[in-house]
Amino acid sequence: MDPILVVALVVALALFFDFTNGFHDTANAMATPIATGALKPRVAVAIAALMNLVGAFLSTAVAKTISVDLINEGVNLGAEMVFAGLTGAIIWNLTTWFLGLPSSSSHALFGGLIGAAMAYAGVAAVNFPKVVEKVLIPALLAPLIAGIAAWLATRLAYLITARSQQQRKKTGIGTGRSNFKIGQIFSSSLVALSHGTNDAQKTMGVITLVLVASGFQSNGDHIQLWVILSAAAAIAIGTYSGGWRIIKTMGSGLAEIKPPQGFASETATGVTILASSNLGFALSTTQVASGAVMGAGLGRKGGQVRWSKAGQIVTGWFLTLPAAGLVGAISAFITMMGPWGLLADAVITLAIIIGIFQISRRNRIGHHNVLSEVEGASEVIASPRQVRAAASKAAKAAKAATTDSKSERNGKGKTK
Amino acid sequence: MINWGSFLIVAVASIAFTTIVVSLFSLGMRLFVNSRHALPAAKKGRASAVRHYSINRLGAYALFTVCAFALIYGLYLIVPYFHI
Repeated sequence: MDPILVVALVVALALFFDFTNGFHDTANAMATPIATGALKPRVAVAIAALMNLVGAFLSTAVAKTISVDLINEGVNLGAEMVFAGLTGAIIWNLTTWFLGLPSSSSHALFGGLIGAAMAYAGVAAVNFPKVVEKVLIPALLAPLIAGIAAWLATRLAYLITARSQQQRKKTGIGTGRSNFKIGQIFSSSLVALSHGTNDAQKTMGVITLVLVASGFQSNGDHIQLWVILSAAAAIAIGTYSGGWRIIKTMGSGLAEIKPPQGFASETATGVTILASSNLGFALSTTQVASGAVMGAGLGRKGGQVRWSKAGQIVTGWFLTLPAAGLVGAISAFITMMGPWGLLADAVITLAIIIGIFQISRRNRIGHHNVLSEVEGASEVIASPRQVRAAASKAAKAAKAATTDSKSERNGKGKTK
Repeated sequence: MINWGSFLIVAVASIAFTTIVVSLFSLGMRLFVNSRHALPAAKKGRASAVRHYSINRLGAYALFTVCAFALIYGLYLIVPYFHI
């Protein structure tokens, strides 16, 4: 098959993966501000998209150093193999999105590539100790660190802002805790920005890898401008389209979040990610954010974590690598059937993608119903202005009704 | 093997920095609400209330400023342009 066609297919698939990466990870930054009402759903995803777009341009350092060190040296990552790996990553990302499970997009990518490498070069291609070190153990530690940080911060936030019932009644001034919403806008934006500087880079790295492997670029020292532009756009569009199912899970499915908890969990997420990327112990953003939400959920008095949901999410994390790997391997076997194999693989993948989207339409979750409970509550608790408006409207209606009946009676009187 | 040393550093730094920033912000919020408590009396011109109001309000703003610097430090860490 024409190498240009192969590369074009891989680039298209890589950009689509970038898109799924974006909408899978919107929740990491924006689930909690949406849940507490700090940001309206549409505004939140717009900010996240903008931050991801800006973040993608800030640095290409990550993209240049992308190396899949989970795969042993000497195994050549060709265009077909990357293609098969990407199909595994995309299908797993869409499956977890459909189930509303936050899972790591990078792990899905690595899993897909590992599976494809195993199909091409055998089990020996995979560096299993590295898989344990880079994927399995961090998956346990990331939520633990962020969870403890968010739990402690939530406890302190409530302790510091506590006021006695008496004092609140006397002055009519509350604890000011709802003002944490203002802090949330900044903390969540920071998380979104740090996401943009990392995740779009992975797609740029993969595209560059394929361009070099196919001889369209002499070496991987620089990233071409069109690659940066398209990857930035793909992740931003993906983020803006909002993974509402995952936002729902993280914003209200895992724990009930109030503004101080939201602020604490976003700060914990941002700080832990920055510490991990600057102090050299790589952690997954998704796992950090999920752990922070759980910690914050437990930190408030009477706060609860839905452990069954948490269990599902953690199960998803451990399945990500093997599941994406399995799909990647199957996909690799199909592509090995020759030029028509690759085309068949592309068609099958497209069919599965469309299929998942079709099934998901049966119970759509969008910005309008992402947090129906929250919106329901705000409908019940009406503002004083709304109450006054409703009262005056009712009074007018009553007045109109009485005059109507009077005139009716008058009318009747005349006819008699 | 797992680098437990760097893991420990990341864990301690994350937990310490998160609790410090959230505590400072919460303390700022507390002082801010304190100043609102003093506002009615301060408007009437009671000297002690005016002092109470301004000290709390200034303290709140100072703490929010510290939090803003923490945010700027985060931006500094994210944008490699600043430290390469």
